[in-house]
This record gives sequence, structure tokens and C-alpha cells, in this order.
Amino acid sequence: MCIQNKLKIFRYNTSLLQWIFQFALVLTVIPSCKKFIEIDPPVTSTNAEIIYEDNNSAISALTGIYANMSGYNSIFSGNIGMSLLCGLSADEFTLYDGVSDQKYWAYYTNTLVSTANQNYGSEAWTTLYNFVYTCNSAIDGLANAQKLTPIVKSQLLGEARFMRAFFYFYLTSLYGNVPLALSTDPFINAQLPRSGVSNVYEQIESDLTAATGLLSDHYIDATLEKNSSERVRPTKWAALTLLARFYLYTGQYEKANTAATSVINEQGLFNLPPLNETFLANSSEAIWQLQPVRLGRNTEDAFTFIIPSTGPSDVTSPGAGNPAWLSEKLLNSFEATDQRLTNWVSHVTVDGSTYFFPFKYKSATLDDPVTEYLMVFRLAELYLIRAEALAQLNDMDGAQSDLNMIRNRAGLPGAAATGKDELLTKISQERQVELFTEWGHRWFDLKRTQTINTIMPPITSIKGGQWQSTDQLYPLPYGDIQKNPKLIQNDGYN
Amino acid sequence: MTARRDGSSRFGSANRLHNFGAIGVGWIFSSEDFITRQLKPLSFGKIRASYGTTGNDQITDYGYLALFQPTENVDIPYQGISTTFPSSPPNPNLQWERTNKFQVGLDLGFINDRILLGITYSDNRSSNQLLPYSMPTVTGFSSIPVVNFPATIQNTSLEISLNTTIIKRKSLSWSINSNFTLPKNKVKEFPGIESSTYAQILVIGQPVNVLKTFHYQGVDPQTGLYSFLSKNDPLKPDRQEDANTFISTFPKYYGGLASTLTFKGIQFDFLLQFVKQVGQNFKYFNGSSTLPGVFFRGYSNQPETILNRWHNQGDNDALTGKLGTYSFGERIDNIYSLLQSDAVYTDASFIRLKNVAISWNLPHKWVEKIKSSNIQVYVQGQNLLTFTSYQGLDPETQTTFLLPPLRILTTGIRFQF
Repeated sequence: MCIQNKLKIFRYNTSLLQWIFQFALVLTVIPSCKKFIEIDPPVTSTNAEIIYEDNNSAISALTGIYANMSGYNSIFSGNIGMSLLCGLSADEFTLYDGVSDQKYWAYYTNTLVSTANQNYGSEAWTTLYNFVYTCNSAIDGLANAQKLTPIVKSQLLGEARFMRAFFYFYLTSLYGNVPLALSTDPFINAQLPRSGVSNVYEQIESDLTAATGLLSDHYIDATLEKNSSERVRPTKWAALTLLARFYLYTGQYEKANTAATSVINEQGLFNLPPLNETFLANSSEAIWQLQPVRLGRNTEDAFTFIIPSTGPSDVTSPGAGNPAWLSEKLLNSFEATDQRLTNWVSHVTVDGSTYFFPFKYKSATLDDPVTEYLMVFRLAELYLIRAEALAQLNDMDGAQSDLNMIRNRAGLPGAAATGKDELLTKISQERQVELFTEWGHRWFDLKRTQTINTIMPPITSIKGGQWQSTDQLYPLPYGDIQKNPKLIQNDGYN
Repeated sequence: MTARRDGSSRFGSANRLHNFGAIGVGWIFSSEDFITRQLKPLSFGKIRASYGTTGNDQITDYGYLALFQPTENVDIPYQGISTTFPSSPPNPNLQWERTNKFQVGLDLGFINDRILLGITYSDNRSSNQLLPYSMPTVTGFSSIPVVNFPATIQNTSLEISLNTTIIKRKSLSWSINSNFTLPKNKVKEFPGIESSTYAQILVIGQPVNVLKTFHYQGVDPQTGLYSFLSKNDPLKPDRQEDANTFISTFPKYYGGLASTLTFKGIQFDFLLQFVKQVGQNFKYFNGSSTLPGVFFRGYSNQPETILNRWHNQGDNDALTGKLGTYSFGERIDNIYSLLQSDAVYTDASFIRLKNVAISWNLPHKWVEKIKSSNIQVYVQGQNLLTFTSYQGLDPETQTTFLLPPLRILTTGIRFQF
């Protein structure tokens, strides 16, 4: 009926001419419709198509990575930071009985899980891949950017590639062979299988090598064009530090030696200050630090590690709670006259129990002036990298001299070692007491030196668990395994 | 018949414009002479059919762009500048959602419309639905706020209503109204489901809320653990291989029956409701992972099944597994397997007498004596009777910590002056 009516109207009321006219009118309207629905970019947020077309917005996108790494709820510091969690997994901490969050017990007793109901151990994965996306977005965007000042573009591209290598370094150290996401397309990344470990390593090496050529060789401010005394942006030296560490981890000692040497030789920028000045903001040892971004607070690590006179406490909110103190094992690793034991370790006695805690960062008082930054890379590690690389290359004198740089600063005499193996053991021991509770160094050292399966069983049993060799890799998130059939869980977590 | 071309700035520049249309026919055959001559009691008859496509762009703006937001939780600007961080990944192919709607219906009236029968069958197929899409976090995000969902979802339903006026006199009338709905929802097609992030979640041919569960086989008499149908280990079923029992909690069919009887000043009404469905039962720990002895709001009181639990080796017909300290790992996994099995889903169909009301308007001559215009005495009841085999508190709400529908009895006298 409806059709009939319409046809009737057409038949009686519209002449052919009128019809043609109306049709033509419609035709003219259609093309202009397209223009009509064109819109300006959003005002309250920005997007990848335009953010890399302007110096300031491009810089703000890369700086967002550092601000995020430094913020609370970051996996890089504080009570969910890698320094604490990897330290719990290894032999650095004793966990407080009153901690109620099962997650801490799972890390501590090496019983991480990945099921529909419990996901402990995969926290860093999610964050690290979010950062990887940011880097990929920057690398894509900067490659096509036309309007940036060349010096800015070069520094930002260097930062993006350095950061991508940095995040993949931690991904592969924690989880083994990880998927290599190099684009921003979520539909491609959603289906990635794990890459061979060599592919991830190749990517890390090529990103770092490229970054070394792109990054500034001096510290710069947020315009990227002016010098700065703030050591809070990655430089060429940061890239070389990670490269040296990467070569050491992968047993490429010659290259590790070269990379470490090029940073150590930069004596105008870096030296070993006294112990109590090491972790200060922009200390002469700092190669790269993160500036605190929370109001009235120095580092989050200080707030987590420094146990107040009231004793250890449960973790209640981001940045609150003192759930752990230094383990007997770690304390016993220090030589008696080691000044790090008095400078970088402190203690508090509560109800007859004495708790020793990391005291590298010393300010855990709200509204203290900001004097400390979170140390990401520092010179001491490079001496230890080079010592180990030289020892592996049978340069005993060179190795010993680097090792003694670290020992002498701590007030210890030079190490006397007779053979290569003994020297390597001494270097390993020195790493334990120099780099303790920093960035999971101990956990990764145990893994890469393949001593983890001999050292951990008695430790885990003291902590209340039972060590299995599969515990050295953390589990992938359950949701990722569910959503990507090509992604296989690490052994021991099914 | 209609046709339209719509444009929306919410989509990627290549997909902003789309054509839509609809066509419908109806025929009132009761107004044709040759039908009314043959079928005398027929007072009204209509067949209708329609088919159309509609679109939807009700999503947030700029969903197709990779967006950046100011970095959160930064009180002190890093190096003194404001910073940004990605908030969503790019999706340049975002386009219109489409729903194809098909409907046929038959409306009949008999004996001067004293009996009205309506039958409607509809088949709606939605494709490119604009929905959040779950992603592995390797992508940098756990979900994308809005994508064109690659599946076609089919919703069919058969609705029948029958309204009759059996008696219609001055002092006596009686009518019965009833309706019945047979709904069906399923994932019609999903190209590339195996490699999608929904490979473990959706099943083609099953409803969108399908649950893949283990098949429960009772408490193992030897260990006191729950056992399941499994290729490898009945005590440790594998989600990939053994979760093959499909359950959907969408109702299979539902309907209602209402009747009104009036005799002089007395009126009697009732409403009966029925639903055929499967629902979560609360036989085990109230359906939660809060175990006996743990106090938690809404979950601590244990169901009766806890009494018949496994005590010793060889207990064959225990309803609940062994209790005791639950260590991290194996035991708790066994309980999680139970909660992901078909043991916690049972028939939750019910027939419920929702409403009954009787009222009596007092005769006029009595009322006039106290100079009132109307006096009514009434009794009303709600949720008076429920017939169900459901193992839980209430089949309609299916929860242990919310109040089920209350049984309410109201009685009163209403005066009007």
C-alpha cells in the first residue's frame, strides 16, 4: 500500500522535468557531504598523525615515557617495582609475615601463577608492552615527520630506539623468548608468536647501535637543544651502558669491554664519588636517572625500603608499606669492613628485632627537598661489566684493577685472586654487594651465570617454597595466552 | 520503502558514508470479500513482512585515531614540560555497524476481535558491531575501546500472544491474556575465529554468552578432590582440551498468563510467569572462591551440601570435596576447576504466581448511607507461589547476597468521598 501511494504521487504530481531537476540536486549534494563530515583533530587529546609534526608535542610524547616510569604504580620503583619483586624472587629480602597481598608471597616463595583467577608474575609484561607500543608509535611517527628540527628529530628517534631496546631487555630477562612487536597495528601484534631469543637479541643490538649514533653525547634539557645539568634524559652513554650490559649477558666479552670502556673513558662526565653521594640527584656517577614526579617525595624506593621506627608493615596503597628487609644471606655476603654496610644499609630495632634495610636512597620523609633521583644506570656497573669481560678474556690485571676501583671506594683492600675462576667468583660477589636491590640485578645475574639452580633450592626452602628450575622465568599473563592461540605459556605454569 | 545515505565523522575517512534501506509490506486480507465469505468468524486478518538495514555510529568520537592523553599521576612536570602518553591504538578501518532486520507476522481476530492472536517471527543479524575488542597486552592495550566486531550475531525470536475475552456481559466478564517468547541468540559466523582473540571465548553456533565448562564427575573417592571428564588427568582438567561442555544462561523460552474475572462489584486478577533456563547454583561455596571458614560478606554461610563432604578414603557419594587447609597451588586449582565446571550450573526454570488481587466494590446503596461515593475492600499478593527445582535461594535473582523478590500481602479498604 505504501508503495502504491508513493507511485501514485509520482504519477500525478511530478513531471519528468521536475524529476530530473530533483535528481540533479541530489547529485550536487552528495559530493559536498564528504567535506561536510570532515572534522578537525580532537582538542582535548592529540593523536599519532600530528603529534610528531611539532617539536614540542613530539618531545612531550617521548618525555611521557620517563614521567610514566617515574610515577607511582610504576614497575620500576616502589612497592611494585622490579627492585623489590625480583629481589624477593632471589635471595635479597625477607618478607614480612603481616603482608596480606598473595602476590608478594608468590614472588617470595617462587610460586608465581597464571590462571583465570590469579595472575602473579605477569605484571611487568603488561606495562613493558605498553611502553613498547609507545616506542613503536614514536619510531613510526618520527620516520615520517617532516617539520621537526633535525637535532630534535635525531635525539627523539635515538631515545625511542634506546627505550625500545631497554624494554625488550627487561622483557626477555624476565620472560624468556617474547613476541617481537615492532609496529603499532594491534591486529598484527595480537597474533604474534614468541620470537626466537636470537631475534629479540638482534633487535636489541640494532636498536642500541642505532641509538648510540643518534643520541646526544651531553645532557640536555626538554628543548633538546640546550645543555642541562639534569641527567634525566637518555644520552649516547646510556645506550652504550645498556649495550655493554647486553654484550656481557650474551657472552660477547670483546664488545662488552669496548662499550664499557667508551663510557668509563668519559671522565669529564663520570667518576666514582664517595658512597654517600652516589645516589644523589645528578651525581657524577649517574649515567641516567629518573626525576621524581610525585609531590613532596624523593624516590619511591626510599619510601618502600626504609623501615620506620614502627617496624615493617603491610602494603596498603601505592607508595605505602614496608613489606621487606634485607635477608641474612645478603648481609652475610658483605665483608666486615665494607663501608657499604654502613653507608648503603641501615637498621631499626623494634620490639627486640633488628631489621636491616637498603639505605642507598635516604629520603623517605614527605616534603623533604628533592635531593635524590632514581638511578637507572651508574658507572660502577660499567667497571664491574668490564672487570668480568676482561677476566673472561684472560686479562687478569685489567679485570682486577676494575674490580678494585669498586672495592676501594667501599673502603676494602684490593682483591687477591689467583685464577680466572676465582676472580670471576669475586666479581660476582662484588656485584651482589654493590648492585643489591637495584633493578633486579641479582636475579638476572643468577640466571645468566647459570648458578640459579644451585643457589636457589636452599634459599627457596628457607622462604617457604620449593625451587623448580622453571621458576627462573616468570609466567605470561593468562589473558594473553587465552586471547592469542599462538602464544605459549612458559614451562611450569600450565 | 525508504533509502538513505548516512555519513558520520566518527569513522575513518574511507568509511564515513554508508547506504541503508528498508522495505515493508502488509496485507489486511480480512477486508477482501472472498476471504470473509469463506471464513465467517474471522473479524480481522493481516500478514506483514519487512526487511531493512540500519546502521549505528553511537561510539565515542575519534575512535579511529591513535590517541594520546596527558600523562597521569604526574604532579611535578618531568623536566618542566607537560607530557603525553598513548591512550588508544589506531583503528583507521572503523566503519558503520549494520543490522539486517527481517520480520514476518500474522495478526488474526475472531468473533468480533474477542479472540486476538498475534504471531511474529523476527531474525536480526548484526555485523560489524561496534564493540570493545579484547586484546592480548602484547599490543600495548588489554582492549580497544571500539572496533567493528568481526562476528555476525543472529538474534531470532518467535513471539506468540493470545488475548481472549471469554465472557463479556454486563455483570460478568472474563478475559485471559497470554504471551510466549522463544528467543535464540547465536554467533552466526566469525571469519578467522581460530586466530582471533576470541578463539577461547566464542563458539560458532552458540550464544554470545556461552560458557565453556568442564564436565563434572563427582568427588574422587580416593583423594577427596573433584574430578572431571578429561583426556589426561580427571583431577587437573586442561582448559584448552577438556572444557567442552557448552552452557548458556540465556532463557530458552519464557512467557506469562494473566486473567481477569469480574462479577458485579467483585474483580479477581492473577498473573503467572514462567521461564525455562539454566542458572548458576550455589551448591559449592556459594559459587565463590571463598572457602568454608573464611568470613566474607554474602559468602560465609555454607550451603547444606557441605554436610555431606568427603571424610575418608572410599567415601563414594560425597557431595563436597575434602576440607582443611588449602595450600597455594594444586588444591585451590582443583576448586577453581570445579567452579569452571557444569557442576555449578543447573536447571533454574520456574513458574511463579507473580500477582493475585481480589477486590470488591461495595454495593451502591450501602455506600450511600455513609455519604461515600465508593468503598472498595481488597486483598493483593505478590510472589505467592513458586514452582522450581532450582538449587539455590531464588531462581529469578540467582544470588546469595541480594534480597530475592519478597512475598507481599496487602489488604485494605479504600473510601472515596
